[in-house]
Amino acid sequence: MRRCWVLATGLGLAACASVPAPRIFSQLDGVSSAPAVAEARKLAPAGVARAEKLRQDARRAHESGRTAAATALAEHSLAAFEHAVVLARLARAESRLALAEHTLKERERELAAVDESQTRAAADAEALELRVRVARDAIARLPSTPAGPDRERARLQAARALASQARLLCAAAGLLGSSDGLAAAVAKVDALDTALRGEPKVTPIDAALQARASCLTELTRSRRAAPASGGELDADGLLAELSRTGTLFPFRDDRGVVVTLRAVFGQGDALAPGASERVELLGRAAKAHPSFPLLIVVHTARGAGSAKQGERLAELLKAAGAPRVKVELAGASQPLVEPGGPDASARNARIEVVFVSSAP
Amino acid sequence: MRVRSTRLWGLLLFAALLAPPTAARRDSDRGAAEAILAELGADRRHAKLAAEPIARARDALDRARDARGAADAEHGALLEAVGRQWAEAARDLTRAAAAEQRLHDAEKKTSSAEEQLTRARAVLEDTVLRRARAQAQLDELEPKPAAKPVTGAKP
Repeated sequence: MRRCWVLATGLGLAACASVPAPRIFSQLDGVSSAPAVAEARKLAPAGVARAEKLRQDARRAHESGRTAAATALAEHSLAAFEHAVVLARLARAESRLALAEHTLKERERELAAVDESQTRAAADAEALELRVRVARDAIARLPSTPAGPDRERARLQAARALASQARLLCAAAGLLGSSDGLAAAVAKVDALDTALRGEPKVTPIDAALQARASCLTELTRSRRAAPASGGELDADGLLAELSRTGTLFPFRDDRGVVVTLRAVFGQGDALAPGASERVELLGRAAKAHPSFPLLIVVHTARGAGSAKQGERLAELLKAAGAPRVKVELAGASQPLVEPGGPDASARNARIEVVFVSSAP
Repeated sequence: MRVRSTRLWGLLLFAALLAPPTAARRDSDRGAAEAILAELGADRRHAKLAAEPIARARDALDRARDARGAADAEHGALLEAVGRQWAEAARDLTRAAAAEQRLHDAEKKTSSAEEQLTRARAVLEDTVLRRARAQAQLDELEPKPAAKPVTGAKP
């Protein structure tokens, strides 16, 4: 009887003792105090609050003896904590992304402003440098004194080259629009040419320098007076565009962008094989950029030569769409290599197609 | 009157039974979880990243089906909610990864823009100096305009 009493008491106590919590509860305790969850409390507080509520529901279900529901709710709470951590990660990434995108926009805006300042400063610097060159050329030098025959011969050659350059600069100025002093500058070049044709004993080298300086000054004045191209390509842009063709090899000088053509014509007026493609490219470029009038300069290997080939080329370029074309004959006044040397004729005889730049 | 009302209720019940269960399903935890899992299944790029929460969501939904099969609707509903929670966690994990990728791209672009900006500022500094040099040379070369004669004060 006594034994039965002890057994009954034991069973009664066992029945009253609390049921041990499922393992998932200790796992849940670990997760809820993890550093990632602590951070999620700041970035995703609603998610963590939901997870905490589920955890409490799970505890209550366990205390009321609904073990299966308690386990499912604890599992739900665990998933909610994980979700809150993910939401915190998403919030952090989106906040940093917004900041990075704002910074990127700021940098792009600053870069555009610096680029604009650079364009303006470069244009100013180029204009000033050109004015410096013109001012230097215009400075009256000490008059040249008579020299020995060899020196005089060299001076005569140089004076002829300067006179020819002066005429081409004045022609370029005329293509951009006549300036007040252009007629006087051209008259100076005409007088110089007359003097040089007479084989003078003392070469007028100073007059030749001054004539070139005058024409460069007139070209600068015409450029200043020329209307703005309204966002059209500048000389550097045109140079880059022509360079990209891979067949024209352009360069820049005081007049603008220059393309040198050799052996353009075969027999008679017909274009030599391979030349038509280059002429077509030049015509297309002239048509696309009408703010660059064309100056065709015929250089010969020897003697004055004739401008016939230049005129024929002008016709072809006009037919291809070039709006303004002028032909000048430079003769043999500007040889590239010493005449008489091997291949000198082939190198010195050439036609220059100048895209006269209206910007300094 | 009573007969008509009974018929009307009968018709309504019949219509409710025939109506497709899709809408109700979509609103339920199972429906929502399955829709998310289907969406994630099409996203091959983040398949590996979200593999674990997806597996947990599927496992919970399977157990929910078993519970419902054993007529334990309460436990089944609780497990469906668990499945939905894991599915949402998986979806937001892929969103976080996508946002982090965009962040990485934006930071890379910002870094490149900053380098360009430094270079552009250096070039601008050179150009400003070049302009100042040219202006100084020009000031030396070009004659200054003659100063206007000072006129006397008006009477």
